[in-house]
Amino acid sequence: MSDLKNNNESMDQFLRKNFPQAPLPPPSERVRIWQAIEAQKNSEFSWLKSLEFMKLRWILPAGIAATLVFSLALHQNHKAREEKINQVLSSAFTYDLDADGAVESFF
Amino acid sequence: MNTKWTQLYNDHSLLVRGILFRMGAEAELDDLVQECFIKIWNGLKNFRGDANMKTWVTRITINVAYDHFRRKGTKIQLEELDDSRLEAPVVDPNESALNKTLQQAMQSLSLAHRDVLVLHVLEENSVEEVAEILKISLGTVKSRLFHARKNLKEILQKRGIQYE
Repeated sequence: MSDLKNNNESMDQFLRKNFPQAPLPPPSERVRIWQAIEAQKNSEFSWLKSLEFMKLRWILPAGIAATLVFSLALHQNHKAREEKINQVLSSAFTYDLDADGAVESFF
Repeated sequence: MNTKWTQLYNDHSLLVRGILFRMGAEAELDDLVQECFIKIWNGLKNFRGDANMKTWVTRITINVAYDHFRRKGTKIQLEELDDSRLEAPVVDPNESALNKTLQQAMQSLSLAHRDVLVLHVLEENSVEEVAEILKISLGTVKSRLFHARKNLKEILQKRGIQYE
């Protein structure tokens, strides 16, 4: 076990000592990469801007129209349900009102 | 220029460059360093500080190296060693030839073996740090290290290099 450990250590030391170092970065690298980051940011920005334009031009009116249609459909549905409930109630229950307008009896 | 960028670059450029070079991406080094830093910069807003900065930067660099070798069509083999690449002639171990041979020997290893050797032996991260960087278990790191050292030793012996 200790032989294996010693063997590993001597190999590690040998590699650390002899493995070549990476070449130094070119002096302009920091600036070059920053320019690439900026260029990417700008291209994303213009993409966002065009999306913003699309949003104002199409998405917003489309959204308003969709909301109106949905509200209308909801209203129609509600109306239909109300009518159906009224029908059911009028056929299932009979009731009389007394002279004061209070409910006298059901069924 | 952004001071945050200058700080980030100054703190990590040698680390990023060193890992990519040792992983064997010498020919495309400058492009890959740029790719790494763009990813690091873009990822900064999501960096929560769960890991330390060096671990996080190292992980991104290793991922960029993996993507690069995948693009190049390098097969990622976990345990196999390609024997056909071991048949190079034995070199005279003077210093520069030795450097080159070591680089070639390292590149003969599978990526999974190369990354543990680069991170643990050359970059001197602990086994625990390597596990965190590669998001693998401690046992896997130790096993890969064992096989990586064994394979590298075989390659070096075939090339007539003794280190003991």
